[in-house]
Amino acid sequence: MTTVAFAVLAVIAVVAAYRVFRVDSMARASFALAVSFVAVGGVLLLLDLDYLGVVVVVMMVMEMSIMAVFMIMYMMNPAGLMPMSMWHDKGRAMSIAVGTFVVLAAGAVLVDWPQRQGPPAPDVTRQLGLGIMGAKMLVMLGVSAVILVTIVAALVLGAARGRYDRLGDDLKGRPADPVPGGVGR
Amino acid sequence: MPDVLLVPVALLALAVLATASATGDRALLVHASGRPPRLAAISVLPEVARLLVQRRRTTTAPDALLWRVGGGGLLVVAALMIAVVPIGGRAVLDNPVGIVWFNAMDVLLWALVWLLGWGASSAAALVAGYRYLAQALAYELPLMFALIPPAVVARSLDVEAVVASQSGRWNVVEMPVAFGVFLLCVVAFSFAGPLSAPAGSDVAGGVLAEVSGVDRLVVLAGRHALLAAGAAFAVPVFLGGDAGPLLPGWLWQLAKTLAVLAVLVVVRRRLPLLRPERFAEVGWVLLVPLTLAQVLVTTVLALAAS
Amino acid sequence: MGLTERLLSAAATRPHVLLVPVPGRSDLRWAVEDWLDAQGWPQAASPAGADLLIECGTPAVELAERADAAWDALPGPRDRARVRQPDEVDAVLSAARSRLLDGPRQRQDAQERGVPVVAEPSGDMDPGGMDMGGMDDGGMDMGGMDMGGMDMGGMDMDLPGGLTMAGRVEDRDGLRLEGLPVRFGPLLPDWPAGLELQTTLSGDVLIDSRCRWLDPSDGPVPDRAVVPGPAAALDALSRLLAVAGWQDGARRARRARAEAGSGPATDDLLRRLRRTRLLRWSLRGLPAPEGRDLTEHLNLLIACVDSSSSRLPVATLHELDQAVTGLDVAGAVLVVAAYGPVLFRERVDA
Repeated sequence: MTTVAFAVLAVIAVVAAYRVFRVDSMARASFALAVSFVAVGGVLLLLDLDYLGVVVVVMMVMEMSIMAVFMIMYMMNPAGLMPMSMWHDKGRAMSIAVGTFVVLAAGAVLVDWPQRQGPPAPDVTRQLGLGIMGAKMLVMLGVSAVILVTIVAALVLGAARGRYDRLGDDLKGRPADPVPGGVGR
Repeated sequence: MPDVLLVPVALLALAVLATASATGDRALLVHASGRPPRLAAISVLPEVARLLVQRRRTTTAPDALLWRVGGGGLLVVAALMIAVVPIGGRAVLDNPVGIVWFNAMDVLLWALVWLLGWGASSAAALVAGYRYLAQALAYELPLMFALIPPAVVARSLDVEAVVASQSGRWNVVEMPVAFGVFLLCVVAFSFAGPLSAPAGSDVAGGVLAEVSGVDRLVVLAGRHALLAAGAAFAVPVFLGGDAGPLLPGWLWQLAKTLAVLAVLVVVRRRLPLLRPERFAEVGWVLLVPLTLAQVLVTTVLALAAS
Repeated sequence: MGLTERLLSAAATRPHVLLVPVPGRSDLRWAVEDWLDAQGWPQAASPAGADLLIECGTPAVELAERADAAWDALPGPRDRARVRQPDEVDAVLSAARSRLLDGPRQRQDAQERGVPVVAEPSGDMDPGGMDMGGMDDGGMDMGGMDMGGMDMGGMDMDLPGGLTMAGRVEDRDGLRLEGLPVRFGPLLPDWPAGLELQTTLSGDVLIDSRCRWLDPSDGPVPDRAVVPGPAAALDALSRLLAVAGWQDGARRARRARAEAGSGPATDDLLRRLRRTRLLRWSLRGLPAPEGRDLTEHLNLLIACVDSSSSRLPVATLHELDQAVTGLDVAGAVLVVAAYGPVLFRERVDA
């Protein structure tokens, strides 16, 4: 039963990923990618990694929605009404792609994975977390906060209009935005 | 494995609650017009009959697959949301991460409503789809932060554990801000009432501008079903599930769900439309710090109590 | 068949109505709206949601074309009627409803429509011209074709339906993104009668705007109903409140309008309006006629209802163009709802 479910999800993931490069419409490409990721999330659910599986779905669907917005904003033929090809430098790209796939698949299939000793832990996600991060858990939590701060700082540095443009040189004026926000800041 | 026997019960509950939401809306409308609220006036059967009889339509070069997936997906997401609500102690999906599952389902709406707007091949619908994403960016973080305090108190993401942790005191007493923000976000993800800009009449109905017939019925029913599923989820997470003296558990749960649904229906009707760009600042500058503060307070209290 | 007839009769309990307001005949529009409120028939926001197309008066050439396009976009079962006098509203609308119940008539209408003809795609098509809804085609007041549930096959896959690629314009952030020519037509709900707003949308921001009256006339069109006074201010209020999303408030304003500004409905409305803070917050920051903020404009309308010492402002199309440029769609439609009732229909030069 689990094997059947895994096979179905795996096929969906691979086929959807292939379709990303074959469809002409940007919206379909983004959401084919989303379907592929959701299938991978389903596979994680089959591995009893419930939290990771569901979080993968959350992150990927959100990202694909925002990505679809940007793709439609910037690309010239977003609905794919004119057929176009998304393939560039076909020869070299194909050989690299196929080569990588063969190497990874060989690794997944041929490596002598260790067998589980005894029953699985009651909380597989926790075991996985401890296994990967171990005694350095606090450091990892701190790193995630630092990453968030870096993202915010990059946005502040990269924005075309900063505080001084919006509020005046003494930072005391009312915000001069093209569209005023709801709180007046 | 999903509990197959509970599936029809859960779907029936969802249908009843969605109908209650639609009927409540009509009752408020009839009352506000000054007419007596007779059954014939507040029933939604004429609307359903009208949409069943109406012909479907399409536009030039729509993306039909994505359009119909977007429309039909609303009901599917509502059903998946109610699948983690314990009915009589058990939920359809016995998911150890029920709270995050609910969050994942409302994130699926980002994709579905945008597809509903994109697939219609119409400027009105496309603008409305983008409005939904703009609103979603504003309410999603507060929603996620509002769902953390119940999990902290219960030390688990399982909805049934959250219900069990409220045997002493209901969560809404301890974390009222989280409850209020959660209700606002339920109204937001079902793009109802003050946050119904994606279906606003200023863009000729938005995502509803080009759908008619059965397709329109599916989208409208989906909106009511999402509101109902959100109300149903609020009960085990914030209002103690089926706890209550004297009456059987399921009756208490139904009563509480209907009470929450009534609040949402009234809010939906009473408040004027909030434009998405005004709501964006409210979401980020007001709601995110508020919910973070709520998480801090709840966590400190939980650590002190243990 | 018994079931179809019964469904039709249940369906026609509360038909949704798409109104075609005719410039100069606000009296008819008011009569129809009051009748619809009394019967509880909702107004549709787009042809896709409508069963009846009701013309409030006799439209002139261009407005009649738009009404015909909307008629084509109504899915079935549908009917169409024209109200010529205020006292025939009841008869006309009841007759239209009974025609909706007529099963054989509706079936014949459906058969006649069948599969519509797809126009030849041409590269230099005027984006505002065709009557098919499409991505760059324009009218937000029009929809697409009614296919009756059938699939759209046999299209020319190279830019089907005669669509053209959108142009590139610079948007307000300095990015070169697509500019979509869109026409906000005369048949949007609570929209000024006979006004058309042509604009280029970049995302949902109006990069530019050109308003025009359909069927331009030689001078101001006298409006039979609009005597300066509380009723006119209440009409303006009802449209502003409806577009601002407070449908109950709009309905109360229409009831107050029916009692000409003095009576229990008016007092009730004014009391609620003075109390509401959320509405004022949501209207803040948008331009209104005579240089006011939209919140101040709301207060002015309330003052006009309350006493005869305040008067409604006056505005021109050019001012509306300037006010709307640079706003996003939601804000723009709100601003048009504020300007609409007070637009001075100036003389058109050739």
